[in-house]
Amino acid sequence: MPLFGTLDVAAALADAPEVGSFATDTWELPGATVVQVSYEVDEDPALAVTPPALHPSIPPYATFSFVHAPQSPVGPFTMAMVRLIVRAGIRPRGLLIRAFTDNPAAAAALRDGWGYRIDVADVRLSNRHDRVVGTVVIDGLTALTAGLGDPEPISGADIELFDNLHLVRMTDADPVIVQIDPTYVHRSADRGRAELTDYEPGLLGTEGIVPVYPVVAVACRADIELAAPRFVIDPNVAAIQSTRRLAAR
Amino acid sequence: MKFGIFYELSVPRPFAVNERIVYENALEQVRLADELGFDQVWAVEHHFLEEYSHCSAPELFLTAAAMITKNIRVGHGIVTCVPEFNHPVRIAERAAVLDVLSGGRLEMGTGRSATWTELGGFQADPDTTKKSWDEFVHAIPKMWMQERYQHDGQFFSMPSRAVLPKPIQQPHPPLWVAVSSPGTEDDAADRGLGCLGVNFTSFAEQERKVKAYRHRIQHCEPAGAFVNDQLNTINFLFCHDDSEIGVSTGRRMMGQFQYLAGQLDMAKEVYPTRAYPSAGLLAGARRQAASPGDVKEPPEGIAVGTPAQIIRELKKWEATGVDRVQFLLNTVETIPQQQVLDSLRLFAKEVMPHFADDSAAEASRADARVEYAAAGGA
Repeated sequence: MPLFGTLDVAAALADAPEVGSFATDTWELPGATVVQVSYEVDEDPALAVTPPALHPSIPPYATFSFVHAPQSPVGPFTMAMVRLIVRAGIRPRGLLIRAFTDNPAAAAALRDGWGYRIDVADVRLSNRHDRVVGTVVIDGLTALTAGLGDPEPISGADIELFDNLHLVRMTDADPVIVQIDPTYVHRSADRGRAELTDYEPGLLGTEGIVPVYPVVAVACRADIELAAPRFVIDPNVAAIQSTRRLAAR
Repeated sequence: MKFGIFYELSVPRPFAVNERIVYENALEQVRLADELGFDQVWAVEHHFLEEYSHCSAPELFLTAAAMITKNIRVGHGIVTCVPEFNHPVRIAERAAVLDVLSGGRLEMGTGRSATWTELGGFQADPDTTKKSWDEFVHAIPKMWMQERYQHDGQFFSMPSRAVLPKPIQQPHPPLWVAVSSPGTEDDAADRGLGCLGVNFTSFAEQERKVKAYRHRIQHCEPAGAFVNDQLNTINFLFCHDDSEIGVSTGRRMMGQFQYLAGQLDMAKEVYPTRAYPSAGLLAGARRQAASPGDVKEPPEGIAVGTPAQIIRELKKWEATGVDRVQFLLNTVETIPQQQVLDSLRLFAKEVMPHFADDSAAEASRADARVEYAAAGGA
């Protein structure tokens, strides 16, 4: 059998988001910009932040992602995510380690409705013809600068943005890993060099993610639909055995 | 239709304990397969694919196989035709040694890798692997056939040198290409290469591909000195007198294989590029893994179950026009070795006789190779 994660779920739940219900209204995010920067990461620390339900990918890698949504039900927002790419059974997923947004209302809604482990910070995404760069500034300190250099156009069909997995406490039920699966209608897409110029895991709270080798960066302009979650996993039982569909609304 | 066996050499943890067990079991299976009349043994080239495949030096495994067998042909493939993995001279040399030591039993498979795990590990550019494969597959037969060879290309260049030894088979061993991405069967046909299908597809789709390949290869420009117009496909094998045991054991092996394949970082998934239009083997593997299935009935086209069930499925393959089927016999030692050997014996006794012996056709192909080369082909 492949390796399983070794995260102490009970300890990790202490500061995980708490969700009452996943009966969330769909968000339409037209004309959003997404940047995803992939780096291979150190194996042992990555395994330590992976719940026992999930496998590490071979080799393990993380994505530093930014989403700028000019329109949303709570107004414009920019979000940054640090995710570890794992396997739920055999399906590649982005396990959310930490997220940040510049919009407090977005932070509250994403935390309460979809279980994002998200805080408010100064998050920006700069989109230029020679590069796309995202930054996260926390308490005046630059915690993350990541982006795509030398973009070249590709097809949106060629890029994989990965559904999210969020470890959450449920108000009236056992904790779960919830799958978040947005849909994307691509308007344009680029591929380029992965650039990670600032990374402060202590500030970000992402100590388990230790980037070691750049893979690739992608950027796209897309209409995003963020619907209510459909699947949850028991964090301590292999996903292939414990994945279940949530009751339809 | 001919039958062979195919090795990924998947090893369960702990590796230090199990590497030797897996290799020794595989060699015992090869020896028996040779005695039972199986036609080919293939071994892949893979790197870094934990548990899924520890077959990083297939030419060594196949040399060991050749030394303990008499008739079974040794399929070296696929060999990764990407310069960061292998210099083409080293490919030609190693393969020729294998042909010499096996007494002219080499089948040469070519390909380009489909995982980021491997491509990234060697720091190869996924965008250019089709191009390097093309350059290599045209160069290697010339290295074998010409006394000295020189080359000035995009992926390698060399002054005139004798690439040695020369293979025993004349004009050279048969050439194949692994087909997992859509369109690679056209690449195979255009270059006169045998099609080593490593993806799992429906019979209707397979039949369409066979027809297209057969038509297209008639107008090919062969990369080597002759056309290898055979279609080879990969399958699983577990044969047992009891249907429930046969199907459930076979399914367990398939499930393990597909689950391990699913852990790999496929090139398409990690590194967006037009050079890898599909997830390769994985796309089929995911579909299969998602199907729970009937415990007494084999999945469509899969050679698990009783001899009668297996004959039924293989007859469907035969009807599509496939020439050869290679079987995976085990995954991470899921099936005890004695059961694997018993399965091979039962298959040889009860299933093989139901399929035509095409040795006459093979002899005719060998004659055609020599005639084509004598007439100045390639």
